[in-house]
This record gives sequence, C-alpha cells and structure tokens, in this order.
Amino acid sequence: MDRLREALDFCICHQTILGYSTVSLLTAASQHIFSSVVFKCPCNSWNMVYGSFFLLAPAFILLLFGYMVNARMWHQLTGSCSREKECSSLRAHFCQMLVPMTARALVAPLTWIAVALLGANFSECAASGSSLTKRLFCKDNGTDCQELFKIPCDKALSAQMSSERLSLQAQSQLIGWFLIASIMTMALISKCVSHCRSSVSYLQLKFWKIYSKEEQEIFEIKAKEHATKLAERNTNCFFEGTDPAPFPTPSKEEWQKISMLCTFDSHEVYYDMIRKYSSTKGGKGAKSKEERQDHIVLSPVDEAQAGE
Amino acid sequence: MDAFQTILKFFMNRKTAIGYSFMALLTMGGERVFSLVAFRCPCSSENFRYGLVFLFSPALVLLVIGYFLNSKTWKLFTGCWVNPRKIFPRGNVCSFFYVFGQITLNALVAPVMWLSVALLNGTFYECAMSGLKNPAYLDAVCQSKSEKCFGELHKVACDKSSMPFSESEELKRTLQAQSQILGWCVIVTTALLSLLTTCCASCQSKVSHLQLMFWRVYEGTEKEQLEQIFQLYATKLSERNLKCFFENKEPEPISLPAFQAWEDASQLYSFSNSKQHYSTIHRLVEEGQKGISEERETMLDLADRREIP
Repeated sequence: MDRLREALDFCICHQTILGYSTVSLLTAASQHIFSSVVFKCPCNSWNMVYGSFFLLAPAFILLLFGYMVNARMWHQLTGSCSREKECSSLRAHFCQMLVPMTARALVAPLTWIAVALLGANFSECAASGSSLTKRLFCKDNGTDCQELFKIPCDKALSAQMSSERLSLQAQSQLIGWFLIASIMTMALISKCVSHCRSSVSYLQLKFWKIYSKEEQEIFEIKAKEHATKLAERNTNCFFEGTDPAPFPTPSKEEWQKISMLCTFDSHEVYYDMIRKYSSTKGGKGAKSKEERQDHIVLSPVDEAQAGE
Repeated sequence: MDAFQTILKFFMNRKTAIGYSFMALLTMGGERVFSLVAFRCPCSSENFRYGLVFLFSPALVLLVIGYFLNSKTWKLFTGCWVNPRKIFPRGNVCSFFYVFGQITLNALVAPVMWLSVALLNGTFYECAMSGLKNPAYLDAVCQSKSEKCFGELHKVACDKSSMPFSESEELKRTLQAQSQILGWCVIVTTALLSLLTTCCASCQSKVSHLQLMFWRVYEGTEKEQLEQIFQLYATKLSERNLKCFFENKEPEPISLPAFQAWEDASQLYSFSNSKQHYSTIHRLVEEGQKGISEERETMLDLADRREIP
C-alpha cells in the first residue's frame, strides 16, 4: 500500500513529463502498427503522394488534437469575439499565447514524423516516387530510372541500386536523427531564453504554478458544491410548488471578470484572476504601496507554461 | 484506499477521451470482423454496389444508433404530434433546426470513424472501385497495363484474373493506396472542420469560460437531483396508493406538479442574456409559470459542446 502511495506521489509530481512521454510512446507504437499493418507502398506513380500522406496527414491530425485538448486555449478563446471592445489587448495577448500552445501541441506530430523517418518505410516509398531522387540517382545511369518506383517492393533491386550510394532507407534515418537532434536543441534554447526573460524568481514561479493548480482544483470542488445546493433548491421548489428562497450566486459580470485574462498592465498582475477579483473586492480597488510589492510581473501562467 | 481514489479520479476526469478511444477501438475491431468474416467480394459486375453497401450501411446504422442514444432527441420530439407548437414555438422557429443540427453532429462521430477505418483498410473500396464501369476512371487506372485490364478489373480483388501476377498485384496496391489516401483525407477534413466550428462557437460565446464550466457542472448535478427526487416522490406516492387500496381508506393529498408545470419544465432550454438562469427548472422556479408562456427571448448561445475541458 505504501509503495503504491509512493509511486502515485512520484507520478503526480512529474505528471507533465510522464504525460508527454506517454503521448510519445503511444505515437511511436501506433506508427509501428500503421507501418506494419496498414501501409502498403503501391510501387508505381502513386508512391510520392501515398508516402507523403502517410507521413504528414497523421502529424497534422495529431496537431489538431493537440490544440483541441489544450484547455488554456478555450479559456482564452471563449467569448473573445464579443468582448473586443472591452478588452483591446486581447488579440495581442492571444497571439502571444499561441506560441507556447503550438509548442505543446507539436510534441505528438514531431514524434510521429521522427519515428516514421527512423522506421523509413513511409519516406522510402515517398522518395522513390519523387523527382528529386530521380535526378540524384539517374544522372549517370538512364535505364535504372524506370525501376525506381519498384525499390520499396523489391529488396534485391534496392540492394543493387544502393551498392555505391546511400540507400533510401539510410538517408531517411539520417534525416530522422537530424530532426530529433535539432528539435531537442531548439527546445533547450527556447527554455533557456524563456527562463532568462522571466521577470520572476525561480522559487516564486514554482509557487505560482502550484497555486494555479490548487486554485483550479478547489474551484471545481466549490463549483460542484454550489451547483448541488442550487439544484436541490430548484428541484424541491418545483415539486413542492413553493417559492424559492433567495440564493446568492455570482452575476454574469463577476464571472466575466474572473474568466477574462484581459489585463496586460506590466506593473501589476496577480497570481490568478480569482485572487485579483477577491483582492479588488476587499480593498475596494485601491492600490496601496503595500499591495504593489505583492504584485508580480505579467502573465504568470503563460510564463509558467512557456517555461515547460 | 486513497491511492485507488486518486487513480479513479484521474480516469473519471478523462472519461470523454477514454470513451472516444474505446469507441474507436470498437469500430476498428468491428471493421476487422466484418471484412474477415462477412465480406466476400463477388468479383463480377455487382462489385460496385456490393462494396458501397458494405461501406455505407454500417455508417447509417451507427448514425441511427447515435440518434437513439442521445437523450436530447427524445426531449425534442416527445409530444410533438399532439402539440406542434412545442417544436416551433412562436418567435423562435429556427431553434428546432439548431438543436437537431447539434444532435446530428454528435451522432455523426461514430459513422465518420467507421468510414475512415474502412477506407484505411482498403478492402471495401478496392472491391467497389474495381467494379466501376466509368471509362475515364478505367483509363486512369489501366494506364500502362495490358488490354485485359479494361475487361477484367473486377476479377482482380479475388486474384482470379488472367493478367500476370505482378500486374494484378500492382492494380490491387493502387486501389488500396487510393482508398487509404481517401481515408486520411476524410479524417483530416473532419478534424479540421470540428476544430474550426468549435473555435467559432467558442469565440462567439456570450458566456465566459468559467461560467460555462459551472453551467456544465450544474446540468449534471440537476440531472442527478431530479432522479433522486423522482425516486423519493414515486416511493411516497406508490406507498400511499397501495396502503389506501389495501386498507380501503381515503388517500391523503400529496402535492405534485401540475400537467402544465411538467410541460414547461420539459422544454429545451435557451440561455437568457439578461437573467442568470442555468436551466428550464431554474427559470421556472424563479419566474413562475408566466415567464415561460411569454415570447421567448432571442436564443443566444450555446452549442452543447462536449470535449472542451
């Protein structure tokens, strides 16, 4: 029981990394399945289109899924069209948010492409139908060009063609490794840059992330409690035909205030919108000198997410 | 015990994703079973019809099942024959089409999954298109092949043609390649369209994100509460009735909602921009009967989007 508890705690601590690793493993596994079960290179003029589709279409679909499951995107997007006049910096804020969101959504597609290139089936098929390969392979030997399409289906032909030059498979694997190395390097550089540009210290950033998560969890619990009480009152009144007792619930404007990440003021941004709302309600909006010290620089959760 | 609770909570939070993955696996399994067990390409002039039937009939069946399983369908249609005004209320005629459109989009998920899995497999398409007698298509497929291709393409799926093995193999591979490319196109188009419509609907939403989340929680909770209270009142009423029957006594009065109250509570809900009502029952309870029979406000918002965390 204790061991299970420890393992669970470990998983919860590192859930982001574990989440991304699981996604990568699943992508690699499904690429392997597709490659062995579904993929059959036609070995004619359709090679290029077929291979490219198998390489790129799943990557595009995974990118779209990556956007769809990103909760933060919907948080930003909901209601933004109708609130343009209230919140002029919304567009700029959204564009700034788009970069880290795209980076997170790109994990699965890039894994697919990298594993597909390493496996070499799709890219070999596509390359054997491309005009670029034809130009490179056929410059000295004219008769072999007709057979270029058949390379993925015929192993003997492939061995014969690549005795002096690098085979199509090997080329594809080299490109795959190069892609993985460059992605890793870019990820490291961007994380360094974002941490450097952070206006918040390391420990405060860490506290920030933990606070946001806790607030979200408690919000869900409180929402459920509030919804239960309201639903009980309504259903009881419906059945008993009595008048409903007054029930305090946040108004639409108050909901909007805590949902909208509209403030782009570089001097004062709060840990999270709900904290801001509760502090402005308490202090009647007065910004005292003591309060200012409490405030931290801009777009906390964006920075936290960019730093991931 | 705590550990299990945490694990359970983890899975409950992702139940939409798990549900869709399960549906996808079921579709893949079903498609495999069909193509191995039931599907026998006739290899004659009937190929085209046979292949298309196998491709589209299961999709139609899944669409119908999708309509059946959606409770909104029954909420929309119950009582429509007796009182057509229910479906087309005064001042809000388009609401029926809007709701029906939402229900259809939800029901279309399974058929699209079937179509994409069937096209990625290639068997049904191969059989169907090898029986297509369109001259332009035959010219394109049999481009660099022997003359026999034009007459014997429909036998290729069963390996019964008199063409050399390499040629018939290549024709099969070409047809399968076309099918798989079409399958990927279907998946990409569907994913792109659903992302764009969700973005548009989300952008034009008059309700903020957190209030929307609360609304969803409220809807689920109200449903649970309704079932509990139905159970409670049904028990009370049946106890009273059976007791009076057996003991031959006068029944004491139990207050239940009137017929009109039930009718009003069963209407589909549209969010009002000025009031803070989260459901039809909420509005009914706070405004009373007169609020419902007045002209409805312009229907604002909100697509019943799922999957938005």
